[in-house]
Amino acid sequence: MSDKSLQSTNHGQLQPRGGITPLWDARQTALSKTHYKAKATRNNPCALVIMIDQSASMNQIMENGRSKAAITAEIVNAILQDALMRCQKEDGLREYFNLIIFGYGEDINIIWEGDLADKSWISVQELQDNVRNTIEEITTKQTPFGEKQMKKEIYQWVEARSDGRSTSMKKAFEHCVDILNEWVLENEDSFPPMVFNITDGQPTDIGGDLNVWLETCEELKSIATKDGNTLLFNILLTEGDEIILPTESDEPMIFEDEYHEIMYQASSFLPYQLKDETYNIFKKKISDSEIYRNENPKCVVFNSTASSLLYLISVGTITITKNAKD
Amino acid sequence: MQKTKIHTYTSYNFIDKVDETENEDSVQYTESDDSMLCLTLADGAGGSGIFNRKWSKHLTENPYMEDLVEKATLDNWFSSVAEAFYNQITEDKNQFTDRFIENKFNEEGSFATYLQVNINPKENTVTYFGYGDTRLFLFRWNSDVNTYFIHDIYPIKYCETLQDFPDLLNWNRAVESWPEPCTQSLMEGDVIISATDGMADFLVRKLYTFDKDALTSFISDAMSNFLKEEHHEVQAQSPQEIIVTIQQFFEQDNTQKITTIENWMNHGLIPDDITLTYYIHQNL
Repeated sequence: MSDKSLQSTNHGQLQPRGGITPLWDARQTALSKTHYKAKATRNNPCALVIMIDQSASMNQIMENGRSKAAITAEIVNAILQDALMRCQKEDGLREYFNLIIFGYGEDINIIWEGDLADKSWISVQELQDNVRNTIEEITTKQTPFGEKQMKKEIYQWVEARSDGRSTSMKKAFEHCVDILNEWVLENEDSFPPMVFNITDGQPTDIGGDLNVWLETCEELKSIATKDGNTLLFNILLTEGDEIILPTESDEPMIFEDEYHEIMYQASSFLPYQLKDETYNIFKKKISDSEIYRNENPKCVVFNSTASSLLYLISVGTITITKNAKD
Repeated sequence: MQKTKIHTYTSYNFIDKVDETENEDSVQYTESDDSMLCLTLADGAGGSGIFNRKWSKHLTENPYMEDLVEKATLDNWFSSVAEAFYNQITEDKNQFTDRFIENKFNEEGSFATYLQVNINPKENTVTYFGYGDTRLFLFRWNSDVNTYFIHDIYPIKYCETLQDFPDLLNWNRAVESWPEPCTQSLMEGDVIISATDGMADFLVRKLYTFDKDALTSFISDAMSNFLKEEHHEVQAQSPQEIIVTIQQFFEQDNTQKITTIENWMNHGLIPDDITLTYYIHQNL
């Protein structure tokens, strides 16, 4: 894995549109019926940003015997594979996504490797051309015409890493603000950027002031295309159960500590338009459909790959009901 | 117009796609020696899966041939066309030009809707069945009031919104439940219009905007509520006006047709691959 430290962010050089948006405004934007309807096309791709906590705490071994860093690498690779597969057509790739991944420990590093090492945003073609490792499996599928053995490939781009002595999450988010402010200027008609932050939940660069952290997240979420505000998904690794897109009613049972609570608050509300699609993707994992439908779920995921969230971005006739991964 | 002919049109979504090779809709029309007409439409779904265009074409080129339409024989037909398609793709080494394509084919399969319309002009009957949101509209003349009215819209009864996730046929899984097939007697002058989802939804909105009560018996309460709440950007058209519009569309040359579709897009037609068919029944 390359370790290309960013010299510095250009935070402050580009002014975010409208500055920090109050929570209520962000919530109302997310719940607006007029946004989050753009289709990802080759002319209007969607930005996928993945941010990975690489601090030493990610070295912790979970109950399943695997480190948080290893689980994180699996989550990231699953998201990237889903992005690649969504763009794969029989006649080639369609560039529906612009992708970037950076890790944060003490420093912020873009973690593309090999030929991608000098890149920031990459295309889907570059993603495909730079698979680092492939795991092959033979699976048996039941088809209408009997059982068939089929080859399955799992691709890897990112390896586990957890050597940072601190967790510069705020700095990473500020960097994300800068790159997305530039991106939306060039892609104002696109579906809003989707940011996946994978962490065990504790920024160390906020001086203990959680409001500072919240303000940074609000700034990130205020970056908008014409189709709506950036969606911030926090994927949290804990010893608890898998929880997908919790609502306010889930709060008492999910928060292990104040950091989890603040990550919950910092995350986007799931936009109104995406609720039905999301429910169809994750209905097996959503414990109470009535609560889910009547309340406002947050873009938070505990202990899950949740790569199927990419299916919220429409690239054609919606097929998620029948095709969503479990 | 020529007697008994079914007029068909299909075009790629020229807003988001490059050319006709990306059109994932397919339509086929055959007339057998004994004058039986068979129309098949399929809409390959772009959201997931691969070889959706080939799958949609394969389905329309291999229609269900039994006289009686029932679940067991439909399952047999589907199993047969699914296996033929799987073999066609996997045995042609030119299809998997790289490992990613093969991986997606094995993992996701191929997705398409399907609608089949069998018209027997001698018996004056029509049988239709399908899977997904490719739709048929049957209009009938009412001589008492000298106008057309909606006789049936299929299959839409159980949809909650026009954005429901469509049921899709995939060669890699059996169909759990086929929508109930429908057989109707045809009367002189009956008009059958069928269309894939973009155009079909446009027509539903036009009809609802014109007369919601007339549409209500063909849709669910949930769909009715959805249409009530929806912001309508389409111009209302009566069944008769729709028939005239579609008839005029088929009288245009291809350039004029594209201009017409662009005009519809400016009035609420969502950019999508467009497939449209038109048939007016005349007793033999």
